[in-house]
Amino acid sequence: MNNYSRIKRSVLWCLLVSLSCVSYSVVAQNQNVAITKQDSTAIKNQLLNTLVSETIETGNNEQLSKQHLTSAINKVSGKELEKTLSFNPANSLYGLLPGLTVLQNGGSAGFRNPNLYVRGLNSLNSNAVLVLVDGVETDISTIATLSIESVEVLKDAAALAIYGHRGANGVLLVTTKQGIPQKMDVNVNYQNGITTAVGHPDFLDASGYAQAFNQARLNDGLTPLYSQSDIQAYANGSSPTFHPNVNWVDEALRGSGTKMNFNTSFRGGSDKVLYYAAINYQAENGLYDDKGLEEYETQIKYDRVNFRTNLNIDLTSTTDLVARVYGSIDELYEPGSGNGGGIISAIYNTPANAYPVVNYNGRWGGTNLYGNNPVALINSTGYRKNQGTAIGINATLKQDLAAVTKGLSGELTLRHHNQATSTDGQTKDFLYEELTQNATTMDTISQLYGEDSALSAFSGNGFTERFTSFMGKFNYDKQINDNTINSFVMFNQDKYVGRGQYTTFLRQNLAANIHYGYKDKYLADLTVSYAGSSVLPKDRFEFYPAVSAAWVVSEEDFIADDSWVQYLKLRGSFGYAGSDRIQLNTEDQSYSGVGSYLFTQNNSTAGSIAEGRLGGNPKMERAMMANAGLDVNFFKKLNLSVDAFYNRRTNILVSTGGLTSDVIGVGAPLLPVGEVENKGFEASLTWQDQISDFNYSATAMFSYAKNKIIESGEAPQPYEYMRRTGKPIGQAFGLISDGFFSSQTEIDNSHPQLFSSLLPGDVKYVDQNGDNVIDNFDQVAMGYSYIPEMYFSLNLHADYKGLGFNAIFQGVANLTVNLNTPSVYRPLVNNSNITTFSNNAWTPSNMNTATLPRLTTLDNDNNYRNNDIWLRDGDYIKLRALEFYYSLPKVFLSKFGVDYFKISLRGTNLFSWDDIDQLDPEALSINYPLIKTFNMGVEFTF
Amino acid sequence: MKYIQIVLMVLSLFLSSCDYLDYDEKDYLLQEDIYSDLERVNSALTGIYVALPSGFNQEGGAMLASASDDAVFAQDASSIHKYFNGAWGPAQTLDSKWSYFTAIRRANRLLEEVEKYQYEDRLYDKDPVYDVLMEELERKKFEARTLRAFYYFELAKRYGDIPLILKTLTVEEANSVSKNSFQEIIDFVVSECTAAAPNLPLSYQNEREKETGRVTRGAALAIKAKALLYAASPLHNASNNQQAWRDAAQAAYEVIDLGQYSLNSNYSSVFNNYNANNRELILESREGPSNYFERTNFPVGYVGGQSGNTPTQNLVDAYEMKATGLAIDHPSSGYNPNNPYAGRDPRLAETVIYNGSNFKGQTVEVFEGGRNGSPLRYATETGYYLRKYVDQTINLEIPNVTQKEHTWVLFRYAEVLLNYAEAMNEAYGPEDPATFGMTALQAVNEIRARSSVSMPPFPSGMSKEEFRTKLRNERRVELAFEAHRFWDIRRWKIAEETTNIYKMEVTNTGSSFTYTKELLETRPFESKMYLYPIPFSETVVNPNMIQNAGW
Repeated sequence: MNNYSRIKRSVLWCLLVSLSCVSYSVVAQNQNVAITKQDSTAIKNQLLNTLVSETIETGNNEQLSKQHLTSAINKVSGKELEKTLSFNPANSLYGLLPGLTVLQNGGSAGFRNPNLYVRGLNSLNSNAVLVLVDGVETDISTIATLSIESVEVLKDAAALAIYGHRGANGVLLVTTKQGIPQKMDVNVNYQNGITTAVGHPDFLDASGYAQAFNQARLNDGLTPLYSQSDIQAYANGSSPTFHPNVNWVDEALRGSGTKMNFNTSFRGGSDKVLYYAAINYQAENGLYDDKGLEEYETQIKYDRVNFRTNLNIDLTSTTDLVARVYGSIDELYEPGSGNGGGIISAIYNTPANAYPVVNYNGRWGGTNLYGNNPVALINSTGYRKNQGTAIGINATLKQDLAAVTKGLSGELTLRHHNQATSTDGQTKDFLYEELTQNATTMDTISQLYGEDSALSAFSGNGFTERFTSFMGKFNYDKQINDNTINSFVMFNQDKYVGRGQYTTFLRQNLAANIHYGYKDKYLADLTVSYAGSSVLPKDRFEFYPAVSAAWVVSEEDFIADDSWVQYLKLRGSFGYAGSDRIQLNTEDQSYSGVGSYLFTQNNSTAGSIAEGRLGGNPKMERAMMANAGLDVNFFKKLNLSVDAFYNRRTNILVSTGGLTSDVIGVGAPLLPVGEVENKGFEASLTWQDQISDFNYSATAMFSYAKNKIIESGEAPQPYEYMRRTGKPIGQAFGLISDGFFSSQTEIDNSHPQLFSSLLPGDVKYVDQNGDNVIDNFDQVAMGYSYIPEMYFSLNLHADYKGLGFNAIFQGVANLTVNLNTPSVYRPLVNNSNITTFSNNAWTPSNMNTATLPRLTTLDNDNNYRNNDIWLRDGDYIKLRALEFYYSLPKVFLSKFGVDYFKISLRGTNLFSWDDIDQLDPEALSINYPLIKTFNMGVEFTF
Repeated sequence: MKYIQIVLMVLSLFLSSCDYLDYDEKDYLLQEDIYSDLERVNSALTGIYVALPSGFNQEGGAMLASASDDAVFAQDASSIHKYFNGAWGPAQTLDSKWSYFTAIRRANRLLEEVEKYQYEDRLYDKDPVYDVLMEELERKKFEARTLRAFYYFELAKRYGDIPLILKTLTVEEANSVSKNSFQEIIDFVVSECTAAAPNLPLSYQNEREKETGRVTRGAALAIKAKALLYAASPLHNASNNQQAWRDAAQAAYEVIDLGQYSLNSNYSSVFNNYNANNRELILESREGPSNYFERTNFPVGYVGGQSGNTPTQNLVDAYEMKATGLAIDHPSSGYNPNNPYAGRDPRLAETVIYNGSNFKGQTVEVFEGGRNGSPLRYATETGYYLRKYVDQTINLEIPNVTQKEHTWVLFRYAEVLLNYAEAMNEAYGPEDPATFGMTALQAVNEIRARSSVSMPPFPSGMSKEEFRTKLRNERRVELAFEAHRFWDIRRWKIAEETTNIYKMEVTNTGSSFTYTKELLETRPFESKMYLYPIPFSETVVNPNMIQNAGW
């Protein structure tokens, strides 16, 4: 916790600096800049435009200009996502949308799916955000970033109620590009670059490992395993067969991989047809060191082709058709031993002195204890291919019904999406050999393990999923003098079918919205939905109302058009949304086997059957949401948007076991009694200006969400401080340490610690409850949850005559991570490895300055448990993207018939500032490393 | 208007399609599917059997013996050590058998539900015919009742007063039940077993399905005898009510009087043996093939072994000299401290591995630097390893790892004889047969006369107190590592006298060994520990669930 608030301090500092800059500029503008009276239509420069006339999709094919919006929705354009052009568009969303928390995970090529949260955690169960791509519930990783027109995050009841039982966790709306009425633009975008791991743990070399191991044995009261001459041999490499010193990271991984993205799109249209068509190819070659020993490749590789055609066709003067066809084909190719985890864990867990990569006779090295030779796992286990295909159609027919009543129109939408994966490949085992030396005769003893088997083919199915939806809708718009009415009523029905049992979900939703505006100044919305889902056995429909209103203060006469406040809007909303992502079948008490017993003289197995947990009365989770916000523009150059919210989720299904006596003799029911409160705010501040040819902008975003468990069915706790209820979801708990035991005498004179037997160098703990015994009842809440409370970013842009740069910094604060990774933070135990992290472990000679408990080769339940040594602040600030580009001048390009030509240099995940040693705070498990990329790209349009 | 009608029609179409959401892919069984079907009723009964306890791994990988003065568990992080290190309490329960209420509910549910059905679908069955099926169903109800009584005894043994629940409870009822007294539970166990015994077969070998392993008449009577013995013991019978002892003696004699059981000639053939040739076995808990018990208990130095439950010097000292039948501390016993294992009760070698024992074809070396001694991790601290129940034939060496079936004895004839001898001695003295055909002395001497044991008989002419002392020692020896000692020192209220744990320090002098008995540790015992604490959360969710005294 030493650097505990370093990042928070710097963030606050940055906020202060930016605020003072703002106030300075406000003052400066007031004093020095005389804003002349302008026509109010002419003031709409670019920045102001985003507050007034930017088109916002509110879902279900509804569009509004931002000025009319009364709800909390933020939008980011596809252009912004291109700054961190990634395979998975979710990895381009870091820090771009206030209120959307995007947390990176590990994951190998092609499988980097960050976790998405809207306004933090709201539920004890699923917090999954609903991601809709053109209205279709889609795994966002299957679409191409360059096809995205915009991404919006919907955060409050006014925006979410229309989604009924799908809305409570927030919605991410992804809209793909459409045609524009112009000549055909052909856009070619080619990016190629290299990838490298953001870092690897710094493992000790063979002599370091041997010394640490000896120290650990000494600490355990055991005799050292390695002699001085062993250690010397490890250090000087004089005996590579029996005293190897292998840097497994260097041997098994190469320094860099490659990554490419090639996109061609065709965009244009006439007054009858608009079209956007694109084909995208992406490929990544991973970081394994394929030594080319076999006739097949053993690199990890990911390839994906995406295609998309979006058409807008005027069928008749009153009938429009929007048709979208899209799909993707991908393949992950990897060594036969499987992806990421297994290979990387072999690399990290094998000590440098375990065995040579290859023995002198050419056989793979290995021992009985360490059988997973990482280099062999990569190079000599065959290969496997994981293939996926996805295809979808999405069509909307719009009919103007002015013939019936002016302002009436109707539309029908059909959507179908289909996705399937399969695997095949050929795998094999490998032979490895352990060489030991007889101490007296000095003979070499060989012990063989495994076998060099032939390739054996396999194939299998992965998953399939189908999504079909139908939507019918009537719109009615009317303008009477200064009164505007926009309204619609819609019916939506969809069906999702996954693979296997209990993966089918049917849903219906009847919803309506009426939007009223007076002079674009006073705005109000009423939204209702009546939605049902097959996850409930009965009473499936729930009613979700929401009201919202906005006042565009700057339209009032008392705000002069030349005021330094160019735009000011106040918003408020209140309403409900639901979540049907609940556990299935909790209403029934089912009977099933509870083990078997043996009868008869032959011990014949008799199956058993018994009642399962009691049935309950499941309900949809219900979210009450209140939001207040303001949007303001100063001097046309500075936008500030602030939203504050209060959410309260009820009807959360929780086990009531903690509230039920066990004499009942059966599991207690899951009941919808859980409750969580969540509150916070988001602020987004953009400064944008132009000084002749120099354009620049800076956007700072800050999101804060803090939740509290109100009710979770928690079992009674003997001490109040042990209660999880009243604390945030995922709150870290641990013991408070009080240094390390320096001697057996100190141990004998201290409270007993009931985890494992103690030796000097073990962690000494503080007794919380005064019972003079240290046990699990002394654990207190420490730090925060595993999801950050604060999420912030700074997005910088500057451009001078086509030469420019973009940078995205993003950070988090107020979260707690647990350094419990074997080998990396918890060394040697269970034959694991050791890193430099453990350099300052306790020894009798450094007992006053040690920061970590003694090394041990044995299980140590006393030291290796949640406490303030391992629970650390996971705060970080990362440079997510940095781009330099040059767009060639049009004058020059037009000679070649080219409209646009840009070359760029781009890096992603370049730096991280954090307090976590060895690993990245976002990827603390042993997994395929996070990567940083360096790209060169060209993009041109003709 | 026409359009509006169409609109309304379309809308009503949508709304009328609410049953669109009726999607049912459930495939699990509900209550009526179970109890309306005789085969599933049978499985439901098996669901009550599966909770039968096995003492191979009673707590934290250890046998309960390691929580008594009979053994020390070698793995220091096992929760078995919490019995002595202060951690034990309502919030950290040990050997928690509160879960027997699950088995009790299964029995209650079965007894409630089968009454609701006539099983007419089986009326025209040929083999077996309907009447036979119904007779068997009646018997199964008595099996369920006997098992329920057994679980209640096991609960009362641990917790003393507990709620007596004879129907399936709702959540509200469960959260407000009150305790019944220990005596009420014992009365219930006695009346249930008395009712069930005549309706259960003596053996299942002559029954239609030959399903040995089910509770027999002998098992029901043995449960009753044990319950009455516990109720008569000092812990629960402070006034030393003689009628309680007489009842216990009578109940034990009912088992003896069945004539169904006899002692095996070979002591070691009693264990891990569910076969009908084990005439001593009354009720057992059977396990399929496994080797975890051997993984835990093979001495270190044997591949895969982790020492596990290591017998104490306290236990080893309880084994008398074979030639004289005298305890080793008796001046004329013939005990040689320099050759301590020679000439001892043969049951010692069947129970304990000591220095010089042959195990798996190797001589065991427990001394410092020996094959099975320190500094190996988990090397015995007591100087001994466990032999009883450990299957030497199991191989833990990769790749030829083997597994064997294990059978844990719940009741055997020798225990019934010991129960009888104890109750008879307390009620009538060592040599008064009362109305029964056997004296306490005869009962215990039958055990000592087992041909593989052949210990000299107890002499006649002992006082009640002398006999009690020798009988308690005999019980400790005969039933070692069968989860009796832990409970016996409690019901006799002598736990405070068993806190000093001794070890044998064996030193290799090159040509011979020296043996020194040393104090290993002292295990604190507080009087509250005569009963288990009731789990903390139980006392919070149900204010009527009063915590046991002292906890």
